[in-house]
Parts: sequence; structure tokens; C-alpha cells
Amino acid sequence: MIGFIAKHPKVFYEGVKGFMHQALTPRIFALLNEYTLKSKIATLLPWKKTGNVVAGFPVEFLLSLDIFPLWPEVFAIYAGAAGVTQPLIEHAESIGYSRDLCSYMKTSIGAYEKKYPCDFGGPPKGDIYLSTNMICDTHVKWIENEARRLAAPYFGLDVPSYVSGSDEARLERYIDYVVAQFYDLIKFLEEQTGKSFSEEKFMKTVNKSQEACLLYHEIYNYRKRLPAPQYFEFQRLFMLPIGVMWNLDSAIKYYRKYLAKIKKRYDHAPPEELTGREKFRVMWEGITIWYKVDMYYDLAEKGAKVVYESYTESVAFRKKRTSTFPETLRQMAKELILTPYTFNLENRISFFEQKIDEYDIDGLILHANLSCRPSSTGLLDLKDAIQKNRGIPILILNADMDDPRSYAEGPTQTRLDSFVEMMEENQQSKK
Amino acid sequence: MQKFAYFDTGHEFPEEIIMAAGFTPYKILGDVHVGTAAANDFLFQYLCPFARGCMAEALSDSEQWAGIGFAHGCDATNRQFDVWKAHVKHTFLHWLDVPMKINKTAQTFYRQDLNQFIKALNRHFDLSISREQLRAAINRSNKIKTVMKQLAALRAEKDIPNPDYFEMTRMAVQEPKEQLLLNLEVMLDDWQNRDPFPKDKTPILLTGSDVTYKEWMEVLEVSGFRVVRDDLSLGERYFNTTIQDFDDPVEALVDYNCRIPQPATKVPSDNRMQYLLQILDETKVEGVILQTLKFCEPYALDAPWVIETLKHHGYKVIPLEREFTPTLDHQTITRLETFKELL
Repeated sequence: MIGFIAKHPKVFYEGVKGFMHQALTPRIFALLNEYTLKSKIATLLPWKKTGNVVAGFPVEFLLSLDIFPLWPEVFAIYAGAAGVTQPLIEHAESIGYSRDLCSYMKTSIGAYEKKYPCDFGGPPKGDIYLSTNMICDTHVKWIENEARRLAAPYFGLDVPSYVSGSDEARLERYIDYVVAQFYDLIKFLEEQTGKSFSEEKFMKTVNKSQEACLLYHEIYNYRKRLPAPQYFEFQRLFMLPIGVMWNLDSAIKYYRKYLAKIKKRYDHAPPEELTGREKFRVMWEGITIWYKVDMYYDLAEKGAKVVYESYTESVAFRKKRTSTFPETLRQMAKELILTPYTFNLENRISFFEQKIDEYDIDGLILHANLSCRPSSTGLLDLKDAIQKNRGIPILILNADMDDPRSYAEGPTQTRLDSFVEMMEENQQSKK
Repeated sequence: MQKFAYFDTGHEFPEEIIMAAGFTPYKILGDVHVGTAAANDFLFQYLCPFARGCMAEALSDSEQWAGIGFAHGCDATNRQFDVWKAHVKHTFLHWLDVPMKINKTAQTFYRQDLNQFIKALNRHFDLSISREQLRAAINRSNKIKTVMKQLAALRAEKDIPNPDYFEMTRMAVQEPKEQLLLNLEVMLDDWQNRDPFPKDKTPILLTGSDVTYKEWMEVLEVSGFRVVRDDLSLGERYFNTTIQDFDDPVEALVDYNCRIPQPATKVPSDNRMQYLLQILDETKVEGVILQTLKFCEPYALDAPWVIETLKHHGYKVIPLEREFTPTLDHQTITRLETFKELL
């Protein structure tokens, strides 16, 4: 890190400034630092194995074999939040990656090439590389390419697509297939580590991640309350520990304490202290725009608070307690196949309608993300269906999660202003 | 015989099952001259234009089709299935989740998936697709692939313009198979009697996104290149391998799917590179053209690796990104002419 600061003092200064501008609490900052530090230490210890993974990959298999998971995507998020991605993305493009490809991936590649530390996007070299297509082709190709470039072993987990119109029988068949691959994965990890897989240790690991995720979901549900305890600009950081530290006691402890605090506020406070519904309660679909937290602050100033995002809910994959090994494998497979961020169009529409009702939503922002084509597919149908069935204003916002070149300040502000006005008119017409 | 259309961004869809069901398999390629406007009402313009072109074709022609099948390839297939289901008129729409891998676990899954597809066809069209019908379809398919392979081999020896080769590959996936076989045999006679490989043309290998309209092959022709080998699904991947004669024809199709040259969507990708190096070793070419269609992610993601590896093996490579348009793009032609001079 010292070498990095000496070499890139301006990047460091801008990055710290960018990160501090986020809705970050000292406790989350400390937790993220703990993860980053552990990542760095894990890569330095010769006896410790590390595995580079992508969102959704069931890391409990790695953890139960003492493999420390490294998340290049999360390091790319750090760089995004710090506001330092553009030169990294451009560097990746200079070595042949197209302008149209995922900005997380290009940030990560650029940061690795430029030898940035993981706090600024550079993923440490892992011993093994693992990815799944449950979200996109990019996850698969990105990690496989990295593994090949660094001459490291690679494992790909194939998660079938539960398309619109699929039935329960198909789901069961898909679960069978994913479970069968879990056994392939165990074999692969045993070969890589020279250790024997222990069902008992695995179950202990899963129990911890279930605990962390269930705590997270319980906290999440409080966002239905009026007013909500937290908004997107905070939630997107609040989710990061669940994204990377499923099994770290410190994360579980944090979420447990946080839940107790929220319970105290909402369950035991006098009713007069819990008045004040937000002027506009907004739902957001798609990945957040990391480098532009000001956009959320501006929205909030206009009275529009983002209280629900399927993306931040999806990140806590474990949704149900399980007790036996076979039951756990099937549940984990099901959670990979059926997760809100990748729902098929029919499920996505009904899920959104349910959430709009549960969270008392006034307007919906759909992020047409240039870096995430899978998530952008079907947004026009989603918009039409929600407008027809729920009659709330919907804004399609074209931008990119990590690439500031795709964000146009003026036009975006104009569109957000119109969106807020539409919500205002909609509320007036309902009176 | 009625057409049964399929959307497949690679060479994954089992045409033989459709043939056994008594339909003509018809690969949807979109019409670049019509464009993508009809599909743009449902899909953003930063999504693959080829896939949007396919949807535009489906929106216009689907009522002539007995059914539509989707084969899992790139993200466009699984994500756009839902959009088609909502907007394309159909009486039968089936999702075939061709696995990303080809190992034993994936084979078991794929076998079940194929059997489910056969069941769905039987149920919907009141059929009873038999092993014999499947075997006969496989037999016909193999004959077609064999003749296509003979035709393709002539590219390095005879004067076979790129659009002619493209037309042969297009016919193979869109025209009735019995007539196709006769047409291919006539074509073989014709090609065998063509003039020798023209001296002013440079032999190259074409890789990257599938080229789905002949105008882009014309761009190569105008630039002085002849595609003598390719790594395309609408190309060699289709006919490179024949289907083995197994007792269980479904098992034979599973085995076939594992042995065909792999597109960029499969893991591990090393198989794709092995095939590229193998065909470069088999046929003398002077360069490699790696083109990616705008927004075609799997091939764009592979591009830096493919370029680096081929260069490492001593091949000259030019990467190109192209739009989905029939216009002869003179900027591309200029770049290609410069590449030709460098060779």
C-alpha cells in the first residue's frame, strides 16, 4: 500500500476522498478493511489457499476446506466507490477489451495490470479460480481468462436458466444437475488442497452463512416500515459485508447488533417517534452507480428515497435454515437458480408487484446498465407490466455501474426531476 | 414439410430431433436488410443486434412456423426467451438448456434435457418419435455434413468466393434436408470443376462471432481475402463432426455435442483454441481475421486471449468489430487491404 501511495499519490488522495463521500459508517469501513486485510494476509501465507470467485458462487465449499475467497468484483466496487475506475477501464481497453464489455471486469483487469492494491480494485492472484454463469457469461469468461493468464486451475459451475413458463419438474431437474456439480466441485477442491472434504465442517460453515443472511434479511424487512431505517446510498455499502464475509464472526456480530438497534427503534419505540413517511418511496432495479453517490443524495433532497432494490436483497443468498447435508445442497442449488436478480421475466414482474405493495412504492427506477446486458433484458416489458398493473411512474435510466464515461450529468438530472414531478402528480391525482 | 424454427447463437440445437419429428429445421438468422426495428420495441439497442434481428424475423414470420426452439448458448438466448414468449406468436415454444460444459455431469443433464424435448414434441404434436426415425435423421444429417465437409475443403484449392461458401452454410440450416442433399451434391460437382485458387486472393482463417449475412463475406472478398478455414457455427462447426452410430440415438446426440468444435460460450475454452490451432496446422493460411459483432460479448471476451495466443504461435491476426449492416463498410475494407499488404 505504501508503495502504491508513493507511486500514485493523486489516485490515493482522490480515492480516499471519493470513499469518504460515500454513506459509510466507521463500523462498515472497519469491516471492509478487515476483509481487505485478511485478503492480503491470506495471499501472503504460503500454506493458505485462496480462491478468486464471482457473485453467487457458493463459497461455503471453499471455506470448509480453508480456502479464503477473494472477490475481484468487490474490489472493483471499491474502485468504483473511490471514483478511480476510468483510467483502469481505459487500460483494459488498451489491451484489447471492447468498450462494450463489463466495467467491473475491465476495472479489475486494469487494476491488476497496474498493480493496484485490492482496496483500489486490484485483485490479488488466487491459487484457484471459480465462477458461475448464474448471472452472466462475463463472470465465466472473466474468471476463466484470468485463471488461464495466471496459469491457475479453474472450475466453472453451470446453473441452468429457469426461463418463463418453467414448471416445478424442470426446477427439480435443474437442482439435480447443480447438486451433481457440487460433488464435482468438492472433488476439484480436494484435489487442489490435498484435504478431505468434511460434511460436518461444511454444515457448520453453511449454518454461519445462513445466520448472517437471515439476519440481513430480517434487517432488510424493516425497510418496509415508515420511514425506512436506511436508504440505497447506505444499503449498497451495508450489503458488502454480507457479500464477502458470510462466515466471519465479526460480520455476524455486526448484523446482530444492528438488528437489535433497529428492533429497539421500531418495535419498542413510542408510535409518535415513528411517523413521517418519506415523501416518495422509490424502488431501484439493477446495479447501483458506484461513482455517483451524489445522484442518490440529490434524489433524497427532492424527497425521493430509495427503499428497495432487488439487487441488494439478492446478495444474501441463503434464505432458509437447513439441517442435513443433502437438504442443504438442494437448497443451495435452488437459491442459485432462483434469485431475484436473475428471475425470469414472468417471475420478475410478479416479484416486483409484490415488493411494490409490501414497500409502499411510489416510483420505480430501472437502471439500463450498459455493463449488464442480462439484467437490462426484459426491462421494457417489466416497465409496461408495472405501469399497467400498479400505475406508478417508472424511469429508465441509462448509465453504467462502474464506468463514469457512460453517465451524463445534465440529461440524468433532467430525467430525475421529471420522474419526481411525475410521482408528485401521481400522488396528487390519488388524493 | 412445415418449418420448425430455432434460435441458436452457436451450433447447439439438435436439428435431428426436429427432422425425426417430420419438420424442416430452420435456423433463424434474422434479415439484415430488414433490420432490427421491430424488436427494438422490446430490446434495448445495446443488446446483440443479431439476436434482435432474429426476434424481428420471428415477430414477422412466426405464424408460418410449426414451433420454435431455443438452445442455450450466450446470455441473449436465456434472457430473450422470456421476451419472445411474451411477444412472438407461437403455439409451441421450447427452452433447451444445453449445458455450458461437456463433462460427464453435463452429459447426464443434457441427455435428460433432450428426452424432455422429445416428450414435449410428442405431446404437443401428437407424435411418437421413434429410435428408427431419429437414426434415419442422424443418417441424413451425417450425409449432409460429409458433403459439406468435401465442399468446404475445396475452398483452399478452387475459386470459391466467400459469399458462395456462406450460401452453402446458410442453405444447410434453413432448407429442407432432402432437397438440400441433392443441391449440395450438384454444388460439389460445380465446385470441383471450378478454376484453381485465384492468385490475387489471400487465404485466411475467419473466427469470432458468426457471420450471418453474405454481404460481410463480400467485404472480405472485395478486400482480397478468401476464407479457406473458419471457426464459426454457421460454418465448420456445423459439419466438422459426424454423429456416431449408437444404439440409443439420444446418447449419440449427447456424444456429438461434446465432440463438435466449441463456441466461445463453452467452458473450458481451451477446446476452442485447440481446434483453432489444429485447423491452422491443417491448412496453410496467411493470416487470421478475428471479427466480433457489436455487443457480442463471448467472442469479445475471448478476443485478447485468442489474438495473443495466435500471435504467439506465429500467426498474423487482425481484430475487427463490425456492425449488423449489409453496407459494404469501406473503413473496414481499407483496414483489411492494409492487413493484406502487411501479409
